[in-house]
Amino acid sequence: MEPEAKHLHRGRWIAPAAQLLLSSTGLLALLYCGWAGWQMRASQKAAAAIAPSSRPVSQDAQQQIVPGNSPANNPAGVIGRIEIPQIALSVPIMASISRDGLLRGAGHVPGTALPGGLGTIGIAGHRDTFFRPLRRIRPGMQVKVIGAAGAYRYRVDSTEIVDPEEVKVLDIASRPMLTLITCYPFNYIGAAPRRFIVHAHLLSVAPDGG
Amino acid sequence: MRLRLLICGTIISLGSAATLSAAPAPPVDPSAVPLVSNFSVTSPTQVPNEKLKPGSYSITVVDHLADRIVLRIDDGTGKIHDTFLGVPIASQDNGGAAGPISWNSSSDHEAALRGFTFPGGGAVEFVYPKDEAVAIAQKSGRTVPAIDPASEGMVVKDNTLSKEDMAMVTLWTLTPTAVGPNDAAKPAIQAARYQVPQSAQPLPQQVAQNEPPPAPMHQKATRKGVLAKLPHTASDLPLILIGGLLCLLVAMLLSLGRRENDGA
Repeated sequence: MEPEAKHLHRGRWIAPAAQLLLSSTGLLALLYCGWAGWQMRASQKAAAAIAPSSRPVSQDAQQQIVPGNSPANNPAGVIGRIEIPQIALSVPIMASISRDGLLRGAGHVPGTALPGGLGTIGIAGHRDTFFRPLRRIRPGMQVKVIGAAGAYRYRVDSTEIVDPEEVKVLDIASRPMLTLITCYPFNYIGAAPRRFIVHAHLLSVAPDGG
Repeated sequence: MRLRLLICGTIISLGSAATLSAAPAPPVDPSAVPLVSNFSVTSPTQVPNEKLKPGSYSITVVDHLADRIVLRIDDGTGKIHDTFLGVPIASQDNGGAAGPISWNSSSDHEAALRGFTFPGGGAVEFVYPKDEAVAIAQKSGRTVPAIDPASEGMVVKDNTLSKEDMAMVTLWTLTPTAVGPNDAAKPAIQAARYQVPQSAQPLPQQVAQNEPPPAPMHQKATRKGVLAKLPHTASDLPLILIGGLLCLLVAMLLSLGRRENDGA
């Protein structure tokens, strides 16, 4: 066979193979995104079922909540919900900050206080999905953290941008605090180098029942 | 003249009495008093972690730390009921007579103990778990010392914390505060880190003589770091979505190109 014909033959084979590979990769990526979206939706439903709410909740959603509502009892599940009405944020709180946990909601930082607890509760979320509205947060806004015991209200004191090593933002302060963590800059493509922190304080240790 | 002297004397004595009563009473030092005391309750009575049935009990100071005291309640048979934390009580609040100090409870709720005055005047205030402290603060309208071990990742086993956790758990005070018109019926409960009252002396590092010496508690032990680094919170999802769409686009372009070539 002539070299030119060989080249043509190889070209005819490569193009369909590349097309097949690209189509499969694209479809798989879209399927993964669809599955992730379904996971997010399921955890949103489960979070809605955690506290008394005016919205009807499906039986499927009810079944996803493990009794006890603590990360120890519920290592992979939904332990609550965080709401900031002024920036239209309503996100389920997962029991961990694992990859899976952060895919399905915001994650409770292990070892920090529980919702409404005496200490500092740390909640981390993806800046490009659940915590994207945090770009618009301002001091004075109210944050509602809902757990099985009821709803606890926090008021935003300040925001700051820190390096990932600055874990002191989770230290116990002179009053019960809430620390929200997400990556910064918000529009960065890939792994952002810094962290955006929101500090809020607990208004009352007594839950208001949701 | 005698009348003037009498009037002056009366004024001076009244002034001295007023000064004495206004001056803060000497602070309480539980180590200077017996460290075991008996008491009895006639109705179900709330103490930290437990509700005592009517009966006779003894309370023991097990250990003193810088800002807290470890207490234990046993019943008449020597069975340990409860081990919990207390804090030095401001002397003007110690209730005077030896024995249990009750919260000023209204008739619509069961009795809860605020603390205990040991014979000789030393008194301690009990530290309640958060939920119990919230209920007491709401009912009594007063500041209640509290702990929340679950929020510090500590495990409560048989209603008792480990010795290390007792030394390290953060002490708080819960204070009912009306901040809005709706708070009149159910006030907000504000929490703040506990601070030793100024009228209470630092407690000596003394252990009850009737107890075996406990293992040393490291009051200043460093808390386990929650994290070494703040979590990475950038999702791969947008990149995967964009990559997937690009793959499909290129595949479509390839397909179109092949059709054109085949047509030609």
